[in-house]
Amino acid sequence: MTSDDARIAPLGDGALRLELPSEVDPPLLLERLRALPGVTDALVTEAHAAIYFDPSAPAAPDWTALLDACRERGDRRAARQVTLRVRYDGPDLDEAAARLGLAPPEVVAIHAAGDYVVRMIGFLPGFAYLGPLDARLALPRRDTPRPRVPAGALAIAGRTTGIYPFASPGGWHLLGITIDFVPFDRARGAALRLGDRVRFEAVG
Amino acid sequence: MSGALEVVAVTGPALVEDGGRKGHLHEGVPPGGALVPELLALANAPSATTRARRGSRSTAGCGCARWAPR
Repeated sequence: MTSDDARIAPLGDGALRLELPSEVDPPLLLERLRALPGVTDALVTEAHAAIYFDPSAPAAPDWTALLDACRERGDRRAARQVTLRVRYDGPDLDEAAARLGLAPPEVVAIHAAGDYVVRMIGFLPGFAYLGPLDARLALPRRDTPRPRVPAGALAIAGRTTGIYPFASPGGWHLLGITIDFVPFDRARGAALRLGDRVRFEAVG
Repeated sequence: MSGALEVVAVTGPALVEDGGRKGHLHEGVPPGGALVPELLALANAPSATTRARRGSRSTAGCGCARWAPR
């Protein structure tokens, strides 16, 4: 799909839902959307963007031109690189490994070898959806979600991995726990940003 | 600003509401706040005029709360 095919739909009376062409640079688009006059908030995912504005003054830029200006460019600034330390001793490690037909150390090695990108933030403040997860680790969510997952837990589901920023219910498979990482802080907000590149370092 | 919100009266279903935290959805923080901001402002108007000096702040619903800044 090209920018010319971009589709826009209302999302209530104070927001728009924008279908994104595949070549758009998400962090750049988020930056541009948040800078638009009248826009109060914006959310960019892999396939869509939601743009929020004051209903009395709806944002009405030239969307096609804006998307064209946000095409991925080779010369744009490098993405931020973040390395997180993880203790891979999660309660689901053994079961996940068995379902995947792998040994637990293999699961750890595959997960820790990944080079992930923050593709979306949501679900909880600071919860970053990281991908792509190696296809060898792809599992559907747990049949029965946990009522409480500890803060900092590293988890996988589908082709995505993520870190629970707070203790919360959760249905992903818990592989371990991050060390010395605060995903969300009231003063500085989310630690990970859209487009960040993330690697995990296994520690004993 | 820090302080405490003290519920001083509730006469039925009540909801403590504030103006929300707009502008942080990209970090996963929902905006929250009143569904109809104008009605929240209207609900707060009497307390703003009569109790402003005590730092009061009313709620949506059938209740009243007092905001005490520190």
